[in-house]
Amino acid sequence: MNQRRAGLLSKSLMWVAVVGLGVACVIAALGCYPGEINSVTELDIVFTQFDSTHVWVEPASFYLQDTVVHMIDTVDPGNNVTLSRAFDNLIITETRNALLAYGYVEHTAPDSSDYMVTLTALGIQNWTVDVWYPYWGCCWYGYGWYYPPVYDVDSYETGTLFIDMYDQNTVDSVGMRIDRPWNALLNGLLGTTASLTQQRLEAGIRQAFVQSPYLKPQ
Amino acid sequence: MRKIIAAVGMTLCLAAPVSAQDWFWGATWGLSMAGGETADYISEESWRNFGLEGRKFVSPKTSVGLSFNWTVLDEKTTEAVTIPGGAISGTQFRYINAFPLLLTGHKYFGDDEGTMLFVGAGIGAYAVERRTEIGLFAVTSDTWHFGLAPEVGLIIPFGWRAKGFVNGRYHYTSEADGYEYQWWDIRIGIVTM
Repeated sequence: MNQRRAGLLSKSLMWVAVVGLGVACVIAALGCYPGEINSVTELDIVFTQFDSTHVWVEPASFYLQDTVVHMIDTVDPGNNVTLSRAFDNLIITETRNALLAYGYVEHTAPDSSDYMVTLTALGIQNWTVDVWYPYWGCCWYGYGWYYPPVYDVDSYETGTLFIDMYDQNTVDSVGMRIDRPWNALLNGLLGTTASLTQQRLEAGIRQAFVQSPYLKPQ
Repeated sequence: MRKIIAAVGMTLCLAAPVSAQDWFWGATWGLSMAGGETADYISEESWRNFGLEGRKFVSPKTSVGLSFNWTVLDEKTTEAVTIPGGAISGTQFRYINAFPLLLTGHKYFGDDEGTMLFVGAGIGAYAVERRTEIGLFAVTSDTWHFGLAPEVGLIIPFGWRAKGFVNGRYHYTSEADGYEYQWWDIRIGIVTM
């Protein structure tokens, strides 16, 4: 009888061990969030927003600001990152080409155009703090039941380009208001090589217009 | 949720005294494929499906039990997402981590010593985390759902007290926080009975 019990117990333990090992392997192999970033460009995003009540009519003209405004954070100036001006002309040219490709006519005088397009860039340093506990089990000697946490502080720099399109026919000089029927935001990590940064900016600006087909006057 | 836990507890408490032959224990691994609206979010199949099964035979051909599963559906896509008043594009990682905890009932057909067909269903709680990562941002939604999962499968003997297990089931959850989930499981595993 005791031998039979011992046999059943050993089989049960073996089964528990097999299942436990399987569970451990699966949990280790799977993870909740598989997949990985293969390139910094995969962290780039393009966000566009439009006023659904706005009517895009043809022919339309635009005035493009001849300078990219580099904005700074005045509330928390320590987080500002100085952006290079080496890409300003590229940004202006790409935006102009995209508007022309959609059939807009460029005006060099700001007041005579239907739309005014502004370009603004912002560089920010972001901070992350991860807290983790280095030991499982009991106890970390000298700390009793308390496990001393480890803090990992990391930072990364991001750049954002804003393209804003204002409807000059809605200027309210008294109320100091103007409608903005479309805007785009390009965001990504800073610090790539000049050629890659150029590619990312070109791709991002083009994508902003590709995903905004309503901009094409009907 | 409390009602579900109470129902599961009642079932296990009312079960007959334990003997090795009365119980069915199993571990499974399998393939998941999203269905319905869930497939609009993640269309790729996933092999990240792990489950534990415990069943108690209340008669020679009928069992009740519990089923726990961990299913990870994921997809990497660059598809632009249209949102009200705009769009967002970039490389996205879309994840669904689903944890169904189901009270199950099954009926068996065939010889106990040979291959047995079973049909049944599970009903219970689904904890689901839906997470979309895009660029440096992530949006996460954690929800609890009520759901059910009809299933059909085979138990195939291959020696000792261990048997092979193959089943297919379809999960369908209620809506919570604007989301409802549907997916297929095709699972293989090892069971003892």
